Order: sequence, then structure tokens, then C-alpha cells
Amino acid sequence: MEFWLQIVVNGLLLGGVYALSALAFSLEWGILNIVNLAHGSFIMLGAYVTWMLFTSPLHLDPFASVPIDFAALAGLGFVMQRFLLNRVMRGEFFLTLLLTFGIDQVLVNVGILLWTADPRAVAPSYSSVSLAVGALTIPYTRLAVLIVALAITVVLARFMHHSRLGRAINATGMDLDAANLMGVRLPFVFALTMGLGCGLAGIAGALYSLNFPFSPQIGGDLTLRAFVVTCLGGLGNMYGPLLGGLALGMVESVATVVAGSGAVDATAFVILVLILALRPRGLSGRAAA
Amino acid sequence: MSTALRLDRVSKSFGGLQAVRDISFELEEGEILGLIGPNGAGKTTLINLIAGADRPTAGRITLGTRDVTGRPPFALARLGVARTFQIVRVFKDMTVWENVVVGALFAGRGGGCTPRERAAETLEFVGLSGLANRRAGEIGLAEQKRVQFAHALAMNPSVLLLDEAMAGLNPGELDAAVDLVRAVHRRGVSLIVIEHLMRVIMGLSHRVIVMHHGRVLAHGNPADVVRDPQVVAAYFGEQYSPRGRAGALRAVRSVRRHAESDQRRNGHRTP
Amino acid sequence: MSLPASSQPSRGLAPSASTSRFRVTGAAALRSGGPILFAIVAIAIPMLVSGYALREATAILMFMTLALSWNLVGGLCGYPSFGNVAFFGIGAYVTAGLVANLHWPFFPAAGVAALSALGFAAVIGPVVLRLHGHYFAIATLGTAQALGQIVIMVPWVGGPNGIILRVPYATSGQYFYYLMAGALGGALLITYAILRGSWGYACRMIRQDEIAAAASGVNTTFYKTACWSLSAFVAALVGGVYALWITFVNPPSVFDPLISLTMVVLALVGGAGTLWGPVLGAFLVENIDQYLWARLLTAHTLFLGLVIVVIVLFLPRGIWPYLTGQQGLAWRSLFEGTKRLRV
Repeated sequence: MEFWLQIVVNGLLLGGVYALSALAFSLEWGILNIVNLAHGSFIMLGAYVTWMLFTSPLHLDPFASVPIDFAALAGLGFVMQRFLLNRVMRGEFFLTLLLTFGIDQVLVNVGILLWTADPRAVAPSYSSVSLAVGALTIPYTRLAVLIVALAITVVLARFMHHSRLGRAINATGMDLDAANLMGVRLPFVFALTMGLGCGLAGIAGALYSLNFPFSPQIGGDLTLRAFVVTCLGGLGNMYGPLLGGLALGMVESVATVVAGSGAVDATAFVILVLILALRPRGLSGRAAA
Repeated sequence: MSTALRLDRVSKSFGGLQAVRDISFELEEGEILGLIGPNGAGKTTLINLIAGADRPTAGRITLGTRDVTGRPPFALARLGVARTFQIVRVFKDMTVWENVVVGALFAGRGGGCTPRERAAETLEFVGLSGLANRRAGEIGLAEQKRVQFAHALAMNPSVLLLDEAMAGLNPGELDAAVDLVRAVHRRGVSLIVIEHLMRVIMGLSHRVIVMHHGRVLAHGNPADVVRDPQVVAAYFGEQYSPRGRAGALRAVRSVRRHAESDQRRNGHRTP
Repeated sequence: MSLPASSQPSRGLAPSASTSRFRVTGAAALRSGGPILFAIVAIAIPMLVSGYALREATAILMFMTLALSWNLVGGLCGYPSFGNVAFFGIGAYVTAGLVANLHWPFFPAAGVAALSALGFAAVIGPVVLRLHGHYFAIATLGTAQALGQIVIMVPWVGGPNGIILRVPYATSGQYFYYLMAGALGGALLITYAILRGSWGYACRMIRQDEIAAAASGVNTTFYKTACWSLSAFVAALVGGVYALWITFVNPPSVFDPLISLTMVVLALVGGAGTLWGPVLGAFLVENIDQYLWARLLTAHTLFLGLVIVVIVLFLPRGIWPYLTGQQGLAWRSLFEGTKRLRV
């Protein structure tokens, strides 16, 4: 019994990572209709920024590097959208896919050039400490990710619904032309939204670096999982990625035990395909374009 | 006269929303049926049901002698039901000529001429021959509507469903469009026309059906329907209903005047 | 029912305003002369080069054919499949299994492999093709991934270790080159046959506006599934030739999602929806890739990424439509849409 409880808890904690990553991804998809194939690489960059700050003479604690990660990657995302992606916003759907793929290739290779392909990790003194609740072990670092994911989801939801800028972003996601006519400066809002998404990816990267080893090539897997989580959770709802992330975390946790680590991918994908075939709106969202 | 199309107690709900409730009517061969009603009444949903784009949740649709309930859109197109869309749909990357010829190619029934011949003839009939080589995405809205119309015609339909085909046209374009619809009708096509423009409906229709909240509110002779107090209330608002007698009379008189002058001008006969 | 192309306006887009007369004649020459030149060179290559260069050329032919196979469903019909490697893998595995375990001769084995892929696609087609856009992309990706994982658990095909083939007769670099060229020829023929007739129109209508296409009498499910199945057939054929050529087949190599992605990129860069676009895209990108890989081992995909970015920004329809005069440079037109309206 306790064994299964631990499995469930592991799943929830794993889900926290997925949820944070997917929050950014679904923001970009829901508002900008961009499936950002470079998303995982932005997470990777966030991890490396944290690593560089941690291993520099500053010895900056990973949690302290979170705002720096956010700012740096938000800036990068803003620039990328403003000068590259804005060009193809009215083009065919293939084009944004291809463009982000190209950008992803560039980012991965820049990463390899700067930091080599060796796996890295960020391991401060508290990284192996766990919270013991009865017979359950809850690593602090993973708990932190879950808490941060929850906090950011709530903050983001409030921002999107109650602030002027947030509502401008929302409006842009609902109807480009109407938003334009209402005076929303589209190129700026696009860039801002992408910047926000990439900044969140940076935060996800900082926290990822605490929990898993990483190298410049982790992007692909991460993007894929963000995609699955977004489909599971549904678009258009701030809490969708959270639900989807936790769900995927659970599925993977259980599948690892039941079918071995090799089958984890397969079960996740089979479930994904089933969901798409039966309920494309996901657990809580609207149908995407 | 035989029946071109018949609906028996057709209903459609989307989740909890009942868009079409229990609708029955017949479209006679060679008839022009006007379908009017406030926005949200279910008119486009009804067209979608007839054209196969949606399945009815209840009821039966008969085309001629054939039960076509629930058949997919391409099957209905091939059986002779053609439609236009409220927001105009043309194949933007194909030329005007190509847009028309594919209608003949995939749904054109019999007639003894090849798709190319039918396309050329339809373009001529509709007056688009000059634009044949232009990309459909690059021409103006009024022309695009005509391309959509020509495409539907090239399908050689027995029943043509027009969903607000005249919206957004200026008065000159409007007259030309109405003439075109009449010319098509003379070729033996039965039509259901959804419009908000009263003058067009009054001038074209043999019969009119008024929909409201998914049901048929009134049906019959255009002039009679327009005087029906329920119709007035639905269209112009409760304040114009018989309780607000003066407003109602004003509204009805104005529409009737336009309708009668149109009828006189165009020598239109009512059955 | 086929429409004689000569007496009707071109199926392509109208030339843009920037087309000069020089470009128009150049484009026409390219359209007719290019394929002929290509055929001559393609046939002559094995007589001119050998060894490593010949293997590289065979690989390029392979990518051309794969890009063409993707083009059938992604370019013509507009359904962005990101899992076509699944068909390549099925082709490779079925061929390898039949040749290595049951000692079948190659051609029947490859034939059965291609037909199995076609059958598989025809069965899952009506389900998967109900999805659109991003959802379709991820569903296909997921299916390919799942298939790759499932194969690992099948002992008859070697499980995680894969299969080694032993070819019972003497072969040479030229033999495999011509096999691959045969597959390419088949893919070109299939694509040409589709584009020429009403089938081609049906696909274009589906790509541009599926709802309007259905309302026009096009059985969209049939045409989509047919293109999807043919796409599987061609990819599986390539997989079969690959299995014989490399003589080793295992899950990571033939179910690699990067292969799916490569197919997409090659076709889009060259010109999706056209006959020669994917061929040109594969030729250019793979040549650049091989050149860079030999010289800049670590950074060759960096340049690949940059090339893709440049193509997307300047030639969004691909290189072939630009060269044949159907589309001008796009820098301005795409940007216009995001400028603020001056009301």
C-alpha cells in the first residue's frame, strides 16, 4: 500500500516539472498558435544559466538564479519573436513549425559549442535531502518544483484575467483582427507573450537543473512532453497544463513500475493518441484551431 | 409538382443547445423558398443539416424519393444538393476557372457535357469569363461570392442552398445578384435562400419560412408572413408587437410597400 | 478524368509582379529541362563515382524518395505527419524479417513489406486523419514512437538488438544505387500520376479548404486515406531497400523520429505539394549537410538550422516554386500582416 502511495507521490512530483514546462508551451500555443519546437532548448538554456551562475565564483544558489533566468530568457524570446517569428505569423502553420525547428537546431549547437555535450548537474548541499512523511520520501528539490509550478499557475491566471496587459494578450489569442482594431499593438504583444513563455521556460530550466542531469540535447524530449501535457490538459485554460502535467507524471510513474522504463514512452504515447482520438479537447480545454 | 426536398420533424442539438427543433417542411420542385429569422434562429444549422455537414439528432430528410438523412456532405453534393457558405469559401490558391471546374468534376451530374464544357458555360452564364485566370484569393469579395456561386452551379444541382449570399453587396451588385438567382431558377433549380434583406426575400420567394429559436414561427405567402404579429415581434422586438400597435403598423407597412413595389416591378407571380 | 494542362491556365500560382521576362523564360526552361538533366545525371552517376561518394549519392536518393513520400500526405493534402518514419521502419523490419528469418528473396519481401505498410496506414488512416494541424502532427509522432517501442518487445525481429541480414548473392554499390533509384522513380511516377488528374485537384482542395471540398462532392476521407496509404507504401519501399543495403536493422536506426522531421524539412524547403520540390530540397539540404559534416563535425546542424530559418523567411513556399516563377521573395508580404492598421 505504502509502495503505491510512494509511486503516486513520485508521479505528482514528476508532474510538477512537466506542468511548469507545459505552462509556457501552452501559452505560446494557445495565444500565438505557435508550436514552439525550440521550447525544450529554452529550458535547456535556463538550466545552463543556473549552472553557470552556480559554478561561477558567485556560487549563486539555484533558487536565487530564478529571476535572472526569467529575465535572460524572456529577453531572448522577445527578440526571437519580434524579429523572426513575427514575420511568419500570418503565414501557413508549417512555417512556424519549420522556423522554430531551425532555431532549435541553432540553439542546440550553440549549446554544444559553449558547454560541450557532457552531462551536467547542479547539486547544492540540500539537493539530496528529503522530507520524510510517514513512510514516504519526498525530495525537497522536487517538492519545490511542484510548489513553484502551483504558484506560477495561480499568479499567471490572475495576471491574464485581471491585468490590462494580460487581457490584451488574451484578446490577441481569441481574435487577432478584433484585438488589432481595439488598439492592441500586435507585434509588441506577440513578442511579449513569447517572452513570457520563454521566461517561464527559463524558470523551468533552473528547477530542472536541480533535479536531473542535463546536456544541450535534452530539448527534444522536453518539447515532446510539453506537447503531450498540453494535449492532455487542453488549451485555453490556465490550469490545464497543471492537470495535464500531474496526469502525465502519474502515468509515467505507474508505467515505470508496471512495464519497465522502456515502455514508459510507449504507454504515454498510446494514451496520448487515445485522448486525441476520443477527446481532443483534453481534460479541461477548448478545441484548438 | 413533385417534392424536391422534404424535412420530417428534423431536430439538432449540440450538447445542451437545441439549435433546430422539430422542423418539417417541403420544398417543391421549381420553388424558391425564403428562410428568414433573427440571428441565432438556426437557419444556417438547418442548411448544414440539409447539406450533410451535420447529422440530425432526430427526424428524416428526403431528397426527391431518396432518404438522405445523415449522409455525408460529398454524397449529398453528388446527389444534387449544392450550397454556398455565409462566410465565402473559395479555393484561394486556384484560379477562378479551376474553382468552377472542380465543382463540375466532383459533383457534376449527367448533362452530357464534359466538366470543361460545363465550367466554361457556367463562367459565361455568371459573367466571370474575364476573370478566369485570376487567382481566387486575389479578387474582391463580390467577385469571390460570384465564384462561389458559379462553383455551386457547375455542380448541376437540383437543390441550391444560398446562405446569406447577398450580404455585403452594394445596391448595384445586389440587383445583379437577384437577377442571377432568377436566371438560375429559370433553369429548373429549386432554391432555399437565407437572407436578412427583406426586399430580396420578398422579391424572390414563392414562399417564406420564418425561424425563431430553432422552430418554424410562421410560413406561407411572403406578404402574409410579414404581417404575422409573432414574426413582427421576433424581428423588430416586442415593442413593435401588436401591443405596441402604432410601431408595428409602421414597420409592417414599410416592408409591405417595398415588397409590393418589387413584385410589381419584376412581374413576379405568387402561387 | 484528366484535364489537358496545355489549354488551361497553369495549376501554379500567378507569377508575382517582380517576375521579369528573363525569369519567366528561365523558369520554363527549368521546368522542362531540369528533370531531363536530373535523369541523365542520376543514371550516369554510378559510372562516374564509386565507393564512399557512391554511398553518399545513394543516401541522397533515399532522402529524395522519403521526402516525396511525405509530400504525398503532407504537401499535397496538407496533413503534417511527423511520424512517417513508422512506415519506413515497418518496411525495413518486414523486409529484414522475411529475408533473414524465412529466407525470402528480396523483391517479394520488399513488396510484402510495402503492402503491409500500406495496409497498416489504410486501417489507422480514417481514425488519425480526423485530426488536424498540430493534433494530427502529434498523433502521428506518437504512433511512430509507440511502434518503435513495441518492436523492441518482439523477439522474432531480434527485440532490442535488431536483425542482421545476409544477402545470398553478390552485390555492389551500383546495385544498391539503382535499387534506390528505382524506388525514387516509383515515387515520382506515383506523385506525377496523382498531380496530373482529378485526384490532384481533390488533394489541393482538401489542403486549401476541407469543408468546401466536401461540399463540392470530394470524398475527403477516401482521398486523404489513399494519399496516406501511398505515402506509407513508398516510405516502406525505401525502408526495404535500406534494410538490404545496410544489412542491419534495429529500432533506434529505423524508428528514429529525426528521420520523420528530416522528411518534413526537405519537402518544405524544396517546395511542398509540387513534384520536384522534395527532390530539390533533398538534393540541396543533404549535400550541404554532408559537406558541412565532413568539415565542421560539431556545427553542421547549426548551419542547417540557419539555412532553414533563411528559407522560411524568404521563400516560404520552398525553393522550387520560386525558381519556376510561381512565387516571389516573401520578405515584405508576410510582415505586412502584423503591422498596425492605420485607421
